[in-house]
Amino acid sequence: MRNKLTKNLNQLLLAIGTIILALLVGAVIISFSGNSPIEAYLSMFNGAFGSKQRFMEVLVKMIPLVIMALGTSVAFKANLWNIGADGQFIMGSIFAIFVTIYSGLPPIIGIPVSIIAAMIGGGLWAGLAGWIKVKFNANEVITTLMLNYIAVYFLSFLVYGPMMDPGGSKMPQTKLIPDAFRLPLFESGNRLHIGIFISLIIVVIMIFFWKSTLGFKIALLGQGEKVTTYSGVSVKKMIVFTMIISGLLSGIAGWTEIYGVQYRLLEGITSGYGSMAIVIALMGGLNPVGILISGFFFSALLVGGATMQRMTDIPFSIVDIVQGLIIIFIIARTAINFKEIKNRIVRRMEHVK
Amino acid sequence: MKKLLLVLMIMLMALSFTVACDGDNGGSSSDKLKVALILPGKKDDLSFNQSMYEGMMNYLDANEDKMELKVTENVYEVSDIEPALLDFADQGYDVIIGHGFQFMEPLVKVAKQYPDTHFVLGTGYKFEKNSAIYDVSLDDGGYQMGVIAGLATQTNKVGVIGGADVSEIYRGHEGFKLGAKSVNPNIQIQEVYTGDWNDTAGAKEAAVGMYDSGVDVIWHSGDGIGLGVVQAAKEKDKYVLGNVADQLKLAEKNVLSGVVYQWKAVLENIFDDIDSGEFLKLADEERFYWITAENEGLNYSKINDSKGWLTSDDLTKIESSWKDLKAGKIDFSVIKEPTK
Repeated sequence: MRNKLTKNLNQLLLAIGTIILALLVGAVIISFSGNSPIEAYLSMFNGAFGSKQRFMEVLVKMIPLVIMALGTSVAFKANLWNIGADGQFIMGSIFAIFVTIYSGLPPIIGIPVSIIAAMIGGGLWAGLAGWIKVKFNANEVITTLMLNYIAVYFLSFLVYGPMMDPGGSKMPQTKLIPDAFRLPLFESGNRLHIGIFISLIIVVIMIFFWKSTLGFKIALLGQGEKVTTYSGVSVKKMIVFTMIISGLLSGIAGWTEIYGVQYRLLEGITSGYGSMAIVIALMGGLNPVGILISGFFFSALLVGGATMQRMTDIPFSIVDIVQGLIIIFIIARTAINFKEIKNRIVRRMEHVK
Repeated sequence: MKKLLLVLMIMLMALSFTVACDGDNGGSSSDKLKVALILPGKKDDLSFNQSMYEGMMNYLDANEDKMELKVTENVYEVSDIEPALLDFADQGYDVIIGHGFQFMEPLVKVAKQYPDTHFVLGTGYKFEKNSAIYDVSLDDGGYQMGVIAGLATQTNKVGVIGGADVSEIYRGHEGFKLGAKSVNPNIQIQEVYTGDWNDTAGAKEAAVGMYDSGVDVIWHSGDGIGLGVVQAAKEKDKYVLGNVADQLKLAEKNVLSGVVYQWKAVLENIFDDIDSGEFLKLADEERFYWITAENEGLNYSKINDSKGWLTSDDLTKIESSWKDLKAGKIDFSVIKEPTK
């Protein structure tokens, strides 16, 4: 118990340290660019928390980001580097909207069916990458990335072609879903929808998931294939299965974005959430609560950065820089492996004794 | 253990909530009209964005005591548009201008939620009680380009390249054909729609193909595609006619002329209506502010005939056709709306 507490606390401190370091190095770069770092960070903070509307927008962005990061974390925990969250998000939303537009089901049945369709879409897309890995030993980093492109262009094909809104003067988007299918908003004037509860519920589910046998098996896969084989679990099945779970979560993220925010499919719907989700998952230490916190941090960074760009002359690229620095520091942290260093120091100190 | 994290997170959220409520700086410092202009691209793109930016700056210079202006660039992704509109409305801006067709849906949605804010949309067709649309009647400009191209061509072949055949571009292209035929009834006209406003490479390919088939003057109807056409003209050393902003700088030997938008003409009308309070009471058909040759919102840039293809007789014809356009003497009723 005590051990776990210090471990979590350590992780939190490390995460905060990483962010501070990234912000500091970022500040140096900003001042090189001729802007004031204090002004940049203040307006970024103000941009995310400066008004109720802005804060609500942070929560709106957080919904898909957290769910996608949770999906990404499932694969990462099994040492499967699924970087195709964007593609899975897109396929999930395509499947969901397909059902809603063409099935004509009443909302009571139609809404649950659309969630399931989103899960199937995302799950199949990631599962496909898993299957290719098992069957042909193709690296999942490459296959998931390639599948992203296929999904993006498939989406373009649909919104420019067969699913284009006939009344939309050739804008690359489908028609709107009926009002009854849209997730309710908390109030008018901002875009926060009840999808926030869905993301919190998924966080809770994931906490229990990692305590279940299935979660344990996935984590075991991350310990190496031999470990898994020795413990009598089929590696191949587990790889495909893990990818499916990972992808279906990203599919749900797509569903919340369509049914809560956009109400239609359109080009560029992911707006780079997938790469953000990877950072969030790593930053959160692949732990559901950690992901929730880092998801909140990153959506504040996103919304604050966008507002900063609107209100001042400081470019949004600063957000990209900070994000990039955080990735570098996380990778450096894993590469350097502090535990080893610490152990050595401890051992040496024991010798001294 | 995890409880601790949860508590920390709740504290963090609570903290940001209080900040959110305290930090509200809604009260404006002055009684000037607060205006936000949101551009989908960069303000110096020598095209659609620049024309609006310059028009707005012109208007601002003349009315500096009455308004303050905030310009935001590069709001292109659809997912960024709605938050930007919401934020400006929430911050108490009086007038919010979304410069582009893709702003239409979010703008109409946000306009409903902020009935006291004035929203202005650059091209489109949907509106609310507190929003209006400014647009270009490109058939005038296209006609003039057609006249110039028809007179300048040495091979009797001209071309026109556009992004998509949406209403005003379609009318521009049809105007071009009319204009070219008015001076040169037997002219051959090639036409391409690339289907994408930013497809510079595709437009360049199309233009190269046209030039190779003997076309020697091409008019392009806008944006990223325009840059591709100008590049092709430079490579093949043929003439190109620009659109939106004066593009002479891009290729001084090859840009013959071009349509120039001067949004200032309608901005004055729009802001006059906002000042007088008429804006909120406009009838549906009055919610469209058109720039035309007549109100000098459309013009053509100075003829730059570096190859000497135009005779002085041709130049007189070009001037007189512009006079006819300004006087509204050209009959455009033959243009049919695009069939869907």
